[in-house]
Amino acid sequence: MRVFLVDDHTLFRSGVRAEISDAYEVVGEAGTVDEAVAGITATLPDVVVVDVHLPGGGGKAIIERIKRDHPDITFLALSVSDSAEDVVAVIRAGARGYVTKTIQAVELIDAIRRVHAGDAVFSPRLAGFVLDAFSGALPTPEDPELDQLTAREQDVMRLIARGYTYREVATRLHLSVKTIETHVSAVLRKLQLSNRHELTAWAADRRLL
Amino acid sequence: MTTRPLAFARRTDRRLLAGVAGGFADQHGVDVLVVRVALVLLTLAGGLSVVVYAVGFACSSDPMKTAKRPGAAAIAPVDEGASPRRTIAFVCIAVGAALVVRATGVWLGDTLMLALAIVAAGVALASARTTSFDARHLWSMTDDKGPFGRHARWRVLSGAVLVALGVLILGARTGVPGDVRFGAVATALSVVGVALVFGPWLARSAQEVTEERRQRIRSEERAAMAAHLHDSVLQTLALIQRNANDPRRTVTLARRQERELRDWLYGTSAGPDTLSAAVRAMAEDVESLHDVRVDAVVVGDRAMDESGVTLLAAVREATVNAAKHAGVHEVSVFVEVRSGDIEAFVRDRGQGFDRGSVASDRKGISESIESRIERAGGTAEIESSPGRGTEVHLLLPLTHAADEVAP
Repeated sequence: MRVFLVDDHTLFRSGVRAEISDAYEVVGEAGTVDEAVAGITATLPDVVVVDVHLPGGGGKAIIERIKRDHPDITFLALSVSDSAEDVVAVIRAGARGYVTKTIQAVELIDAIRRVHAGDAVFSPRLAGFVLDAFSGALPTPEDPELDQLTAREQDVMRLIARGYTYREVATRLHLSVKTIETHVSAVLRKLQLSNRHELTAWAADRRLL
Repeated sequence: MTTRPLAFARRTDRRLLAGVAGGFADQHGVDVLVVRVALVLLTLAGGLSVVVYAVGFACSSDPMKTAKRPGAAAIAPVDEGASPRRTIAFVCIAVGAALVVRATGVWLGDTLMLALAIVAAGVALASARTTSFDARHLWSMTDDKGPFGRHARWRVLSGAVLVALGVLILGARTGVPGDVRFGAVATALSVVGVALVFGPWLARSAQEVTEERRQRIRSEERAAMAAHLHDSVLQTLALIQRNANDPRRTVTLARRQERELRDWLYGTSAGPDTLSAAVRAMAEDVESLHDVRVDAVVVGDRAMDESGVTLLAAVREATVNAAKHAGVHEVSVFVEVRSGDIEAFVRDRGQGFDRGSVASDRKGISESIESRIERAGGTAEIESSPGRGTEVHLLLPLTHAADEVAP
């Protein structure tokens, strides 16, 4: 699998490269939005690991520009940012997952594999953001399909927020890992497509760390 | 220097009023006496000289400002106090003006106007020429060498006496019957008199104090920022250098500093006055004390109150327990605020334990976690088995759910 790294900190980039280069072929790196778009277009990697905050527009801008011509390229957001607003913006732009930079090397390698396989990767923090965003019932949801989480999806999100891995969630709920992945992907889709006005209002107003 | 042709600099010395006549005389090389006589004659022509003098004042330039410009000619010496001649001139003009006004009929009555005139004279006398005022050193300031200038003590005292006299006349004129009421009015009027005497100084010094305070705030802010960076970032960098061979400790230090700096810069959590902020602060604290990563996720939020404090204390105890006994580097904390209760989970993937074999020496669990939550009407469950980690589940009903922070 071919991986491209985007982060404005050279040191951090080389650290990640060292951590994942045994598992994957790192085909390129970039530190700015323009460099990244040029590099990704030239190398056409399978997965782009992208920082949320970048000079010149951030990870959101890269994803939006690349997705137009290369919808097959998968993005995984990796950031120190704990801001709900930034993280949700990158997910809505099309990233398949969000992990924090404190993630262990093994978990990062696994997360890259999973987004490439088409799954969504939720860190506990992202699960918390999702629960926050979809909390409370809308008086008249525009699209009940998209604007609300099912009870099962909420169960899954809560367990992930509590620190459970997908496998542990599956065991706990007596479901298969595949079913859990389906639920998580559904939640990701809702996060990306929901018109739930609270989602944007929440992202703007909420000043969660 | 661009001066209008008509403009001339007013005199600062040898003048009677604003130095307009003298300035005009200097500019055009005539005797100042000629100009003054002309002005007096013009007065007979329906008081025209007042208009002429005013126009002359408006056209002329301030000698002090002119002198400050580069390349300006010899700086005129600053007028040395009020000369007796000038004072007499002012008094004559003031009396004349008063008589003119009296003749026009716009007059409040002789006694009242006399009293007001005396008050005005007193204020003028007492507040003349000083830039700084310090009530604590008033007496020493009125020394001949003090900032009030020569004869200052005499001037202030006589000014105050004049003001008091004036207000007494005012009080007497209003004809308040009864000695008691007169005493009260006299006291009030004296206060007004004192305010009139010291008012101008106070106003001036208040202005200076404001400016001074602004300067001080600015430098204090800079000092506070330097102090903060020194106490936090520099200390952490020093600690990191000393712990360079201990990666885990280094990471913990860096993480803590990063959060702290971020909070300080963007003010994301000014103080743990909400439950989410308090949980994060707790997580940071445990991280720095016990060398573990605490991944804290809070959903919903509410203002910190007694329930919050109780729950936070129990969550903290559970987190510290996990950090100390689980033997792992990571603890997950999840707190969810709902409309009727708060639910919290503290989880680790560590070695776990068997409740039966450790119950006696693990006071923390029964005392700090279970009893605490149960006293507050909630429930605490601990799920653990050797080798499979531990999860503490807390559920605390909210008695007054109204003050939930709206998301």
